[in-house]
Amino acid sequence: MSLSNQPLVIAGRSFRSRLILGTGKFSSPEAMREAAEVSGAEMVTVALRRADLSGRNDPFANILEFLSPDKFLVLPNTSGAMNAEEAVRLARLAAAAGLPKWVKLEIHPDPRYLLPDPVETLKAAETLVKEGFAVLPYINADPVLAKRLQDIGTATVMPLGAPIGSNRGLQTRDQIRIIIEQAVVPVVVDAGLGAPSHASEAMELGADAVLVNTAIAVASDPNRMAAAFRMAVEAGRAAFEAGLPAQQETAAATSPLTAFLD
Amino acid sequence: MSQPPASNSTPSAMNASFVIANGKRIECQLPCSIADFLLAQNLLPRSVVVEHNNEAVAPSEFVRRQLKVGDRLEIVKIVAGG
Repeated sequence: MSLSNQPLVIAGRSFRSRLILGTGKFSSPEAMREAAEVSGAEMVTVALRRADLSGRNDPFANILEFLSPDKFLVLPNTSGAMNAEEAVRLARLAAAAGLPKWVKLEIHPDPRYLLPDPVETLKAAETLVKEGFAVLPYINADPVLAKRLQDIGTATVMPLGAPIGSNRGLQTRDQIRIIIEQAVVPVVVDAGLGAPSHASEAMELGADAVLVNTAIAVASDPNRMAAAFRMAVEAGRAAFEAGLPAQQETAAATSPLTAFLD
Repeated sequence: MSQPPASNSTPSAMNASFVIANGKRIECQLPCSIADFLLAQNLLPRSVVVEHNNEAVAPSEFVRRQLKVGDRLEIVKIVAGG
């Protein structure tokens, strides 16, 4: 049984799972396939890289052979793009290859923090939305940028919790709260979620989904970690839908306080 | 240069047979299709995605699309990623 009642709808497509899985960093494509199964994810990301033209046998397996299109929406990302033009080219290439006309738009030229470039991201989003792509932009947790992107017609906004692969959790909590409050498209918290509790926290805040990769892929037991994230996402969402109680400064008794022994 | 070219000089641009693939000059038999070129590079056509002179090409076009001298190709693979 899923704890979550409301399905997630992105660009007109409905998903039961609110956990999106990144396929990078797994020890093997087989390990990725198993974890994807256990995670319950219905959307998984892939990347595009220049092929090796040295004539050697390419060590990278064709990842699509491990992802049934009946089970997963395969979401190509534009990782590696240094600017809007390269991101647009990557998105077109993925679509030409027969992947769905969906794209996780990410442009992060600086390798130290991999923070997304807002100017190039907005530019690329404009072009891709016009070309009919469902655009899921990876952004810093900037409420103004999130609004600008949804105004031009992106399918989601994907603010980061912390830098990619940093496992530091929801460092941008207050900004994400504002993005959620203003959102007219699903908010997917992407990057930096290193523990199931981080995912739960994002879902309790009202995020519509989370994207997790590193924390599951590098766990000593990726399958159990995938299960843990699945439960955490469901729990966090159920808590949000159920309505969390207001916090207050002082205690509020849960048992009658009328004097008993007097 | 006042001297006439020697008979054993390097091929001129007229009879060179190369394309620029992933930023590198690659000698090949031309004309050929994208599919032929990929196979000559030990790449299975169904495992890659190709941009030909800045235009994304659907795999169904690989057999029909002919390459000319100096054409630019980007050949990419779909790989795991987050």
